[in-house]
Amino acid sequence: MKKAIDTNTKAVKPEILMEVRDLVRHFIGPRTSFFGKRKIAHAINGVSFDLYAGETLGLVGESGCGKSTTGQLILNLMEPTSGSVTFLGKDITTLNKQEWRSMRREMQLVFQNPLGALNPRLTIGSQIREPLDIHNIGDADERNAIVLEMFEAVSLPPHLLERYPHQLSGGQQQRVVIARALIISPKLVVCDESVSALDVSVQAQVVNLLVDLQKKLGLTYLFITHDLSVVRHISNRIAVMYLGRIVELADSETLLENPLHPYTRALISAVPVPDPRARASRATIKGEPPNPFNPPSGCAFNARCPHADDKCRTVLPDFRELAEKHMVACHHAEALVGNQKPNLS
Amino acid sequence: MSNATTSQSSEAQVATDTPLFEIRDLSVVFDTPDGTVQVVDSVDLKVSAGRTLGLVGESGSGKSVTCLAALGLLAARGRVTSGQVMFNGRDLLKISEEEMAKLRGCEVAMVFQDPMVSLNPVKTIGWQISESLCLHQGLSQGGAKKRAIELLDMVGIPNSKNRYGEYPHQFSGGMSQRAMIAMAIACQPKLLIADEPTTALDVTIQAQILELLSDLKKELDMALILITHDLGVIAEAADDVAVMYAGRVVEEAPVLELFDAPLHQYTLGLLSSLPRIDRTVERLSAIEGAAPPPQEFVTGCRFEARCGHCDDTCSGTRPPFTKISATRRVACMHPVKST
Repeated sequence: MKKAIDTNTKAVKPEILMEVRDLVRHFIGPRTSFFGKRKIAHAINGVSFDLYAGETLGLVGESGCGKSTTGQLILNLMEPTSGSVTFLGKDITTLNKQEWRSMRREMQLVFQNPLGALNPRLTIGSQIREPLDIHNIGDADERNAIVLEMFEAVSLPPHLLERYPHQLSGGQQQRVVIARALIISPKLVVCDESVSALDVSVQAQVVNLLVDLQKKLGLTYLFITHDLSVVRHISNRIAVMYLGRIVELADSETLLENPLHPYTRALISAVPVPDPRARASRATIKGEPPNPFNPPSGCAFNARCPHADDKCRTVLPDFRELAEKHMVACHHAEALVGNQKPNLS
Repeated sequence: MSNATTSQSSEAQVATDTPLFEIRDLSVVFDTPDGTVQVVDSVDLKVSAGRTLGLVGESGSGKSVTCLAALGLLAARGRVTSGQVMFNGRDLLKISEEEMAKLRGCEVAMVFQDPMVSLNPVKTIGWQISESLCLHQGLSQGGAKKRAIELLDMVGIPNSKNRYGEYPHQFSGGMSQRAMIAMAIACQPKLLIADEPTTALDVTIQAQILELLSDLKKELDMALILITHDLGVIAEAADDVAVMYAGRVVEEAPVLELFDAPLHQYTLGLLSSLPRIDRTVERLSAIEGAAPPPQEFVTGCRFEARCGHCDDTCSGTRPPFTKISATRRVACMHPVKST
């Protein structure tokens, strides 16, 4: 499937489903002194990317880098401090309530913890049906028919329709959440750590399901996760975030086989590979991500970066296109091309 | 002592005659409102000094409960129904609670998944480390403080003198886990049980913690039991692996052999369902279905319902262990044939 999209991108310019430009979101910290100013956390600090119709964009990064906040901002679940999100030609941050209501049918969200996302007192069937009721789609019989069809599409046996969420296993619950998100045929689905809480054997089932549904329904995914192995499998392109900014964006294979940003390299080399012979080839980076209340000047990664110099400590690197469709924000990226490829095998 | 254990660890690769810690035939039940459920079913495990045993399985496979039961840390509803837990020649299930309390945190220590929950939020990190030093080693307060600062240095916490007086909320996740490890190794335990020590941490921090654990293991010549659901972590850190499924150990092997040639159908399924960062696969080969909950555990092979190779011999009786070598065995009626 990846190949199909790749050839498409070369033949015709892919249709842009969503344009995110210079998204900024600040959070105001708790009051620490009666007179002093409250601190501001720069959670999202100028994020820009395009989402092409039918693709999966993986958004990866460590906790606190702003990947979930980005997901919420592009779904308009949170107001950005500045910046714009253009979806189907309209800036969704400026829509009024009525316009937004019809727009929100086109975008859905699937969270990490399915049990938290489901109502414990409603049967599975009525929860999957609820979006149809809310958006007034079809009459009662049609709705039931659509629910059954959707239930089959996520490979759940029909006798579970009358059950309650706690009677289902974790994998089945996540299938229900996916069915509920897809039943009103959205164009964009944001998956926020959707498979992270599942055991590997079940995780593989849900990942396969998401891929199948994408093919069948022509969905676009923004796949937010901390797990680089899953993201390689499911994404066409990957964006790596660090402290509120995208530091590298490229096609999945390019990014993982030939990463340019030192942080991407560190991240890839830190992932434990299920192959005991690959041990010891890693370079662990020291330190931890900086505090968003007190970000360092210059490149946010400078304190942990082996290549950092004075320029990195003072000047913020531009997010620029270094190779074809390979964007990176690092002063030394040119010098790093082709050098020190992380050893994966 | 240290000489003896070093020679033992080198011998351990050839033959494991006297392991430091050995669980034999351990079964654990929980009393629930719906009756008694057996969550751990005749588990055998052993680990020698200087070795790392990786205990891997999906959630609910009984890997944590096995270790908690061995240290007498089961919740009120849990009971050990059979088995022996041999540590240094003593059966831990037979000794008194008082002796056990002396042993825990001293000769045997544990590190848990979520450091923020394990730490006491109203006491300083330093106080919490010193506590076990005063208790188990009888150090004075001054001596304990000095030693605690050494320990913080040892686990790689920078600026340890100042951080000694800080509270858990001032520590990040990775730093708290380092503090927990400092606490665990305070009395130089012979055995460290780490239950999902890196699951709550980011990958870059996880790599640091795994490195720290393996360094400390060498430095202190400890035996380490690493409980995890992540086969990547196992490949990275374990010497020997025990795979658990639905309350039983289904396969035991040295780490290289396990990844090169898994024998149990479940191990094979697990390995091939992993998404890999180092290669592109067209489609993940998922294992159908889900692991059974403890109420539905059967006597026969518990993987049968999800297995593509099962036949009549699989149900009814528990698949016996087939011994492949001194360090390798598998409980499967139709083990994977090597190609």
